[in-house]
Amino acid sequence: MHRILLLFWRFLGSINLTIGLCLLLTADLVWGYFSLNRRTPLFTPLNDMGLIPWMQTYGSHNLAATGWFFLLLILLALLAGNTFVCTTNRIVQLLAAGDGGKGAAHRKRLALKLAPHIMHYGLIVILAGYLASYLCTQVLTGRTLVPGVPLSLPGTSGQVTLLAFEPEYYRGERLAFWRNEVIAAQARLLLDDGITQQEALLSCTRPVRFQGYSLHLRDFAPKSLRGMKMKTRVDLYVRKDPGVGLYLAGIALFTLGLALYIYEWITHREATTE
Amino acid sequence: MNRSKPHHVLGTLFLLLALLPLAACDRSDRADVDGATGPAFLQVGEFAINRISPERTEVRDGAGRILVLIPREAPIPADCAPSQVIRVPVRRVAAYGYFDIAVLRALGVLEQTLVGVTAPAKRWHLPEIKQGMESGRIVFLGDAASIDYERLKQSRPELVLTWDPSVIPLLDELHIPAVVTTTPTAMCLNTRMRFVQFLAPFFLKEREAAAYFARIEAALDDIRARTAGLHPQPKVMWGDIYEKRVMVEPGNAWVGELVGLAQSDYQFKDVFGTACIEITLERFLYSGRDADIFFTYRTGEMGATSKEALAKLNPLIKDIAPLKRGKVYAPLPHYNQSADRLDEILTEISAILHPEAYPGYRLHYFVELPETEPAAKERS
Amino acid sequence: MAITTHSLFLLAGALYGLALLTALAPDRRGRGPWAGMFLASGLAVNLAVVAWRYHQAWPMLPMHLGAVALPFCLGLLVPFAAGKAETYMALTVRRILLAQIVLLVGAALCFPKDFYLPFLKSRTLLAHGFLWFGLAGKGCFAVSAAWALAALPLFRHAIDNRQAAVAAMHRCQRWAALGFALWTLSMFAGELWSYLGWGTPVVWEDPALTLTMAAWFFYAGLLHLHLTRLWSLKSRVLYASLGGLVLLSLTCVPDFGPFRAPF
Repeated sequence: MHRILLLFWRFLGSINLTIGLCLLLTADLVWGYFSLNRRTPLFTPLNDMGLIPWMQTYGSHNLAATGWFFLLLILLALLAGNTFVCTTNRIVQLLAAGDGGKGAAHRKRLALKLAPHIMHYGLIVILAGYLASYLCTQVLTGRTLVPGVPLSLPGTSGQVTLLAFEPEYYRGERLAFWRNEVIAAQARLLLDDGITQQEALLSCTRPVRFQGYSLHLRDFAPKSLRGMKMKTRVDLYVRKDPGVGLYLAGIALFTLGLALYIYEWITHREATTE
Repeated sequence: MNRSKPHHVLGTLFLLLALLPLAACDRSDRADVDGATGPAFLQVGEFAINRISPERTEVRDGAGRILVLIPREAPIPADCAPSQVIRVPVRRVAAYGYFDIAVLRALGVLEQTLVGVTAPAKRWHLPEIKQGMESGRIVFLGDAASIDYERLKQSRPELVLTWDPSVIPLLDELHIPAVVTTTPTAMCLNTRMRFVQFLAPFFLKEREAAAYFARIEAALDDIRARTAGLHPQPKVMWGDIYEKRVMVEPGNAWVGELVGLAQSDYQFKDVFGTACIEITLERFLYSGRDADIFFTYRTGEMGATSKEALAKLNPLIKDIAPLKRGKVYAPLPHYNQSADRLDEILTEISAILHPEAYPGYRLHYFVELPETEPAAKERS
Repeated sequence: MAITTHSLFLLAGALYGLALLTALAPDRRGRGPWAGMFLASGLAVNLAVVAWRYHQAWPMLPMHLGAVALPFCLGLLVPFAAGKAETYMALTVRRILLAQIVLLVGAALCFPKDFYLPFLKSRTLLAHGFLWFGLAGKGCFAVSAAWALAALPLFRHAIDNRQAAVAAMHRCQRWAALGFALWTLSMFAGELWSYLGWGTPVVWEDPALTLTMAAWFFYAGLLHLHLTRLWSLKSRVLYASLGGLVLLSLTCVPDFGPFRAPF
């Protein structure tokens, strides 16, 4: 049994597996492009209904167009396992080899040697974050705010009210097609948690976090000073996503590893090459 | 020895890949679990119907909202908000869009169920609605941007079909469920044909929906047969310019797909996105350089009475080929309210593109614009 | 004739073409300073096209700018790609890069996709970072592929030129690593933008994201190739050259539209 586990561990940590997986992922994602192109309505529900319900409905009923995605999941799972085993093996070797060293210089050298492995762990954390996001996110679909009607956030005492929609209209001449259209959409919200009240600003790329939910601006009206008069409204994506922290941490970790790697490259490898 | 390892690795990978389709086959075999009411899961563009059990069907509307359909006598499920639950068959409907109302007509439920609309009586061409409004059975709820909620409450709808999400919070307060019937991406031909199947479970009219769909499919088969191998393929554009803003039907919209299906070349087939998508003026003019046929969004009431009138309205388009030497078509006022006659509309568009395949065909939904205003012609 | 972005880009293409023709001259005297001058002029005109497209969209992101901005990025990299050396390899790399630029400009002129209007959610620095880190990364990948392509003929005389091939592959890896870092930053900027705008790190409305990820995995694979003995130097060069070119072409596909006669 121990021998089988060891063989499996070695197989999973193989660098050849890494390269094979990278190539398969490349091919699969190219296939994915041609499957996804002009079929986006098949995949957009993934963002709100979660992975499992999506697989049971859209995914499994359109296999010709979604097969690449199922394959992607398998390949990414294998890659995460491969990356973990491979990089853990190397870290153990590195730490074992560097046992005798002391001092700041040694620690710095070790940190620089760990750079690729920090990136590898960063990748695993990012993938774990995505998985958590697609498996566990609670999404309130099609939520709209209009003045005077509060939106309750399920499972909390929190309520969100639209105080004012404050669009900025484009008045210049440079963007002819945008004249009199909204160039910056901003909504002033009142966040009420049952005890205290506070105001927050929501815009196209500035979400509001409240009571564990994040509120993102999806659409709004009116969009223009001309044309059909529309009632004021702000459409939202309302999400409670446990994966966000993970994948943001993964991105930070990967970036740290990348920065160390580049630093090591400039200061050490290039100097050696010279 | 080193060389044999990668073979194991690759062998295992390929084995996994080979097993994948087997694992995935499971769900697709279960597509038709309930032959009486249709497939367990039906996707209609961005809409979807998911039959969970005979007592529960979940639908996804154009805004991605999930609504639950239950029999009229069933208790409200504990996991749903009241405004999320719709008792079927629905008996009273208020509707915003002409298209939704035409689909109710196609299902044969318009006269029995429609109680409120957002266009005044003078704008209607459907006799059922004119009569319904005269008799007071159907009420004008006010313009879409300023609905009279008192009147809406009095008309007691069990369902509102709308394109405007701003009404939903207020309808939620009134515990009236609403379905958003427009989508961010333009409806493709298949979605346009199948939308009736999306609304059918609300009224338990699946059979009527199937018959309607079969009728449209037969019309498409006829178009394919009549236009097969026809040459030359006319170049077609569909859209208009309003001041400096250019709107066209993208290639993924049903008209774009139909033009391609009818052996014609749609000039915006590469454009993808929402219905009536805005693009650059340069592209519109470039595509218009060698187009043969132009369909304008404008009706005669909106000024599309002749090529000359259109060019005066939009000096920017006066140089596109259809206005100079090709043909320009405008929809007739009742066109927007005739989606229940989709088979006839598709046939008519095909007849416009290939008149040689439809000898003696007379237009019912579009009008070909003359070079100049009829009155001006007489004077000259 | 009115000056448009199209006519300016035609001019940029002509100047890049002249730079390529001059660079193809067999001896140094024949090349003179002309290749550099034509390249600099082409870059200046190309920059004007990019600036014009920005002018028509700022503060939003011009849609599908990559088709006209990638030749510019690549042109900027030409002087750095092979240094100032006049060796056969350095010349070959420069020629390959200039040929790539001319091909890209030709493709962008024949298959323009400049008809979509910008959208409001692209009004953030993250969107611009996503675009420009991506373009810089793609430029580095192109240089990496150029070094590998330049090394390919060396394998006809396997033993004599091994040293040169190793050196070329070293350069190839270096540029691939730099490209990979920039590409990763572009992806991260895209993910953050996507999270802030849509609440999720992946926006399925844009199929190009799959090709972005494909390129990332392809170059992740390339950067690991030297760790295994299974891939000989020749197969690594083939991977980086032909594979790199195929992948780069694919990542450009979303920025191209239908055929339009350039003249």
